[in-house]
Amino acid sequence: MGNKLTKIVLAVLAFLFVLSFSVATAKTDTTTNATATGYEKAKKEWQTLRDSLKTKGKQATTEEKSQALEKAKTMVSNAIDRAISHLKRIIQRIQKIKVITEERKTKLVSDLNAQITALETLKTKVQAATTKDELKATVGDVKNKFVEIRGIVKKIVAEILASHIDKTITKLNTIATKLETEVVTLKTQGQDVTDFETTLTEAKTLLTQAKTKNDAGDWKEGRRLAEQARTKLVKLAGEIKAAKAKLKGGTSESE
Amino acid sequence: MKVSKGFIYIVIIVVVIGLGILGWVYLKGQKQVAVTPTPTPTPTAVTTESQLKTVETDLKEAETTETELDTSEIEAMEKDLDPSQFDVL
Repeated sequence: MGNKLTKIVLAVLAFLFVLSFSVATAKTDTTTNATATGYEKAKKEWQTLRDSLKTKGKQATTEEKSQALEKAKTMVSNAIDRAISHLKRIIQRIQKIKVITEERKTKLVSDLNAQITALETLKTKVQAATTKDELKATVGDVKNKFVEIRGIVKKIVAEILASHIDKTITKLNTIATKLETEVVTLKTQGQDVTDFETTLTEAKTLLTQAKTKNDAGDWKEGRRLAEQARTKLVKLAGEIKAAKAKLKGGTSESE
Repeated sequence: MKVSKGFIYIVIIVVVIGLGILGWVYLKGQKQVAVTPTPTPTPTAVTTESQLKTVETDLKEAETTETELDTSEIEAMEKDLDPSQFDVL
């Protein structure tokens, strides 16, 4: 009896434990998926009605047109909801980023929140539309707002990533300097470091190129070159380690 | 008064979980105010390797940022919102 009760208690606790994690992690995804699904569903419904109205032409009744107007409004409202949900996700991501200052983060989040407010205002306008012309005018505004938001987000991404890559390049340069010291030490100990020096020079050249590209706004190329430099430095670090181990082994043997 | 075994188990589990949470909260607080310890001297090669690993993580994080801040979803909706489609209304 006692055993059975223990098992039940443990099973319930395990279930609650897993559930709490699932709820916490799924919360954001659920909201995102719900807005995406809601939009796609509304879009399909509107498109079906639109095609039906096209087929009927002048024979379409006022009631049918009125129903279709409501569907169109739902579709546009859901599109706005989806964009708002997307912006909220971007805000969450920005708040986690360490490469920009808190002050800058606050400014970026504030800019994005202003866009969310603007979208909410447009949603109210869409819902208040009673005619085709009102809806068309507001949809035009929504579309323009989406274009504006994309531009803002692109600028934010460029700023964050340029800062990110810049910090990475600085770190890699520090590592390169350390490895250079190691190479010099090995050289003074009589080791052949020709290959090491070549790899180091290649890595440093790549880092200079990465910095130039990144400073010019091409952070994608900057990142690619930084990654290549990192690979070279990983190789060099491994080789230096092996050379030092070999030297140590040799010394031990001679002693 | 006789206390059932089940009740005792539940009490023990609740106490353990409670202590666990308290411990976690305490350690979290400690971490925030902890003074950065003086770095222990380590061989350069090892330090460099770990630094290179950190850089790898940084680069991956940059990639994640790019993916998460992607706006293709909004771009696709922009295309869907052509005002002329409402002419049928």
